[in-house]
Amino acid sequence: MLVLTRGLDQSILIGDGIEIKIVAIKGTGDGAAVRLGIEAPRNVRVLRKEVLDEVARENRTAQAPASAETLEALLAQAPWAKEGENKPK
Amino acid sequence: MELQTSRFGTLTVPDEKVLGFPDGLYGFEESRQFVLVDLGRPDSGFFWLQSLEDGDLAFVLVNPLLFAPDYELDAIEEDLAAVGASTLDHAVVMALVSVPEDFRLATANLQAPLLINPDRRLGRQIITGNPSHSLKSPVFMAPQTAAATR
Repeated sequence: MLVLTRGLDQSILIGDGIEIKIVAIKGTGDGAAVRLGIEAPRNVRVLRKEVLDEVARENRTAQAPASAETLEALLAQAPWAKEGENKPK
Repeated sequence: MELQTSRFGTLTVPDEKVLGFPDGLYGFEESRQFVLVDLGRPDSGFFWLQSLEDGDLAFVLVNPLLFAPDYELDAIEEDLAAVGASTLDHAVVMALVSVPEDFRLATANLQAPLLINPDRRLGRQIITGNPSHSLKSPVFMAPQTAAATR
């Protein structure tokens, strides 16, 4: 990992068209936080890293229930399915 | 190929039905091969995504437009390229559903849907980056609303 020290209003440039700027520095010690401003092309996704962990956690929760009854009930509950039964495909 | 699954018993999967997820799913990066299984009610809008590498691993998928008709996402080039699609028109978007004990509280992950290219048999879980897309978007009406209409 490349480690650089930047102060308030200083920036880092990454590749073509990506800029990360220190917009504000708040607090001290453990509670300190840095506010970053990010310029990136539309085609580049910018995410807080925790989002990946949150998605992984949600995926684990989403592992399908083993019970066939729950699944059958889920299918029966779908309002669009009830309407769709009488409509031609 | 034949697959032993905990939910469906033995499944016979023709090679051409296998979906490849080169990057797996978040938290399941080693699961690269899946098959879409009809839940027996094709109009329900729900499918199973059954792992070929782990017979116990399956997910419920739903077409988000069925309950969120305004759902829109911009897929970035890298995600489209990963499934061999030149535009979003060549891909299908499905959301992973979390089904709790009370199935009426089922939620879909609209923040990280699956992008599937049916022609190339490739898929990828993408993160839309849109803050209005929820990890847990209710699939059905809130139970109290449902109760009021009975």
